[in-house]
Amino acid sequence: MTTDSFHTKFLADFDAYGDAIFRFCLVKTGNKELSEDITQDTFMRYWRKLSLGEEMTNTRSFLYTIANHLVIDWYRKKKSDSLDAHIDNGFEPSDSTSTNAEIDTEYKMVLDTINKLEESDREVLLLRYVDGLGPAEIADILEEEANTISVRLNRATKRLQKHLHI
Amino acid sequence: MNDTQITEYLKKLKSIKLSNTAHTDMKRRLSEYADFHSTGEAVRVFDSKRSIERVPEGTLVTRLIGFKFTYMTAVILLVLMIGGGTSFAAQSALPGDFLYPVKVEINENVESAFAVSNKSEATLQAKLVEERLSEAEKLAVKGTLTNEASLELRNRIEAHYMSARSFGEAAEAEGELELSVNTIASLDGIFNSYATTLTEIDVKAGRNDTEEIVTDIRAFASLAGDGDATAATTMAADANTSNATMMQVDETGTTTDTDEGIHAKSQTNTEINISNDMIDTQVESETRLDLDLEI
Repeated sequence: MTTDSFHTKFLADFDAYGDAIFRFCLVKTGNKELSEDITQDTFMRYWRKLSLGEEMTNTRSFLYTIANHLVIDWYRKKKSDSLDAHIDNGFEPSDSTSTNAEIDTEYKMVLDTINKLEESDREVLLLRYVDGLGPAEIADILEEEANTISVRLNRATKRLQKHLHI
Repeated sequence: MNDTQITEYLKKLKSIKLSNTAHTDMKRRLSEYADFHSTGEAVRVFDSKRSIERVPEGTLVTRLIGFKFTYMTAVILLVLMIGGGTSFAAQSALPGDFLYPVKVEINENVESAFAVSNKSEATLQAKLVEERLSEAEKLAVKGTLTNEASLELRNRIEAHYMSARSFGEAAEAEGELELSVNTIASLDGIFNSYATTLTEIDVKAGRNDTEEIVTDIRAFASLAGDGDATAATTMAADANTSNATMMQVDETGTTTDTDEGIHAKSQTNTEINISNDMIDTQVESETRLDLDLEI
């Protein structure tokens, strides 16, 4: 692959997966600016691997894995304050990511609901039901066993149903 | 609520995306980042993975080969015709000056070529961050920090900072933990210091030239500050381990170096001597260019 080919693939992958990575970070951290920073950092690290010609069998999973590590690093540094603050206050993206007010209202309602769940529940629900990943792929990304993810998904779904009073 | 219903409910989250502006800006920055960190397909130098040819796009070599005759290329060609003493004159150039491209595209790339380790490249890139900040300050004092200059400096600062972090991480992986704590993380204080100074210059002059670049510099400060904790923690943990192997206590309670510790110190002294030799060679080369110009 030539430099130009790497570059083209890199930007195409950003177009394809940038929003998904941003969404993943936002659901985990609740902070829009931080999520943008981590998204950018994720792709920069991806470029470093790509430009060295390192093979990746699944680009999407690789990107999620990097983003997950970066969020974990962030939590380690900000353990005491940010997580509790975001759980207490709910998600507050500082400006709308959509021009449709009705869509904004809908996703904010859903965010507020899943905000009541643990982060571990939120991430598996997002990856499974929004991004369509299977338990095995989620297990790779979160570096867990596939069985663990299946169990976690099941419990997360039940907890969500409880919050939705179903 | 079955699986389909849960899916339909949660799918509303799919409307969470980067805004159009954020997407466009981020894509542009990533593209520039990729350009700056081009692929390593070139000749290996000093048996390391780094290479003289792994340079940012837009250097003298790549521009000539690509026959991209831009303003910058014309300046660089002119420099070659006039002689190398121009590189000295370029050192004090600021964005917008005729010789500024010589400073950033030639002089600094030559410096980079001599930085043969990840540690030295990280240190150099950190130094270039400060150089760009200094240029912003000088322009602000002169009242010539235009939007264009601000944007150029901001982009270069970002590129140097990201490069410093990248090489710093590589150096960390090689055991150079002190680099991250002392050099990279100290950029946090440097960024904040320049942000404050630039704001003060504006206030005294009754201008508002520095607002945008100060916002960006504060953001970089925040990023640099976040890198501090991890590096410091890792270094403290590693120091405890490495000290145990580098030092020993004899029966009298006296602490001395182990064989491993002596070897490590010897390696460090060798690296310093190699760096000093390279600096001497570069100074000698530049002195000869100066003499040629006088003739």
